[in-house]
Amino acid sequence: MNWVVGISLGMLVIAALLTTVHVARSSTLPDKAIGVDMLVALVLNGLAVGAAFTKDDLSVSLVLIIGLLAFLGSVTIARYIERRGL
Amino acid sequence: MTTVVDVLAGALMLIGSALALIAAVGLFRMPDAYSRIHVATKPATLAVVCTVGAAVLRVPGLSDTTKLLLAVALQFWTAPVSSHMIGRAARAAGLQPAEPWLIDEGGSDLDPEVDSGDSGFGRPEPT
Repeated sequence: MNWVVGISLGMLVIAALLTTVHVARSSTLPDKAIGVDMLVALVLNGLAVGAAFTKDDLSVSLVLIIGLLAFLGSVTIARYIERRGL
Repeated sequence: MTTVVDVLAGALMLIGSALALIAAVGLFRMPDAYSRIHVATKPATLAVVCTVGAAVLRVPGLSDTTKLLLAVALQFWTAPVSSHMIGRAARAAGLQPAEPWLIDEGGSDLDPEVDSGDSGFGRPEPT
């Protein structure tokens, strides 16, 4: 179980680095919003892997809460793009 | 029995992380924001389903399982809505795709140039 969790978290970290580079390099606001959305999904993945590894109660609650907050953030950015432009 | 569940959970973890990595690579491979929405949302949702499924297999107790299943249901509910909202906002703000539109069903109420006061998104623009 140890090395499986290690490989999973390693892949997630590489994915997060790639996504961060994309957010930094992209020029328009929708691109950045997609990247940030993706980053939150990656955090969710990491928390779920952590919850599966440690069987921790807190991580399980955090998966639920961060999922809802991610939706709120994306909708807010989308409204901002609609009203203010790219 | 415990070993079988652990192997299943490990496989789900690896599949989910690999999907997340593929989605991150797809952000670089796709030419414009619309196809990036397509490539980032769906594998990321499936990755969350896989890793949370691994957690469901491993956690003890009914309350944690319920929370995780609720998280998966909310992910299925909110991820398409938020990505659709970002895509629609980009279309309304006039973002052009890498290749010209083949079919543009947005119509005039999504076009800022022919905006008639009510932008078609519920609340009218402040003037």
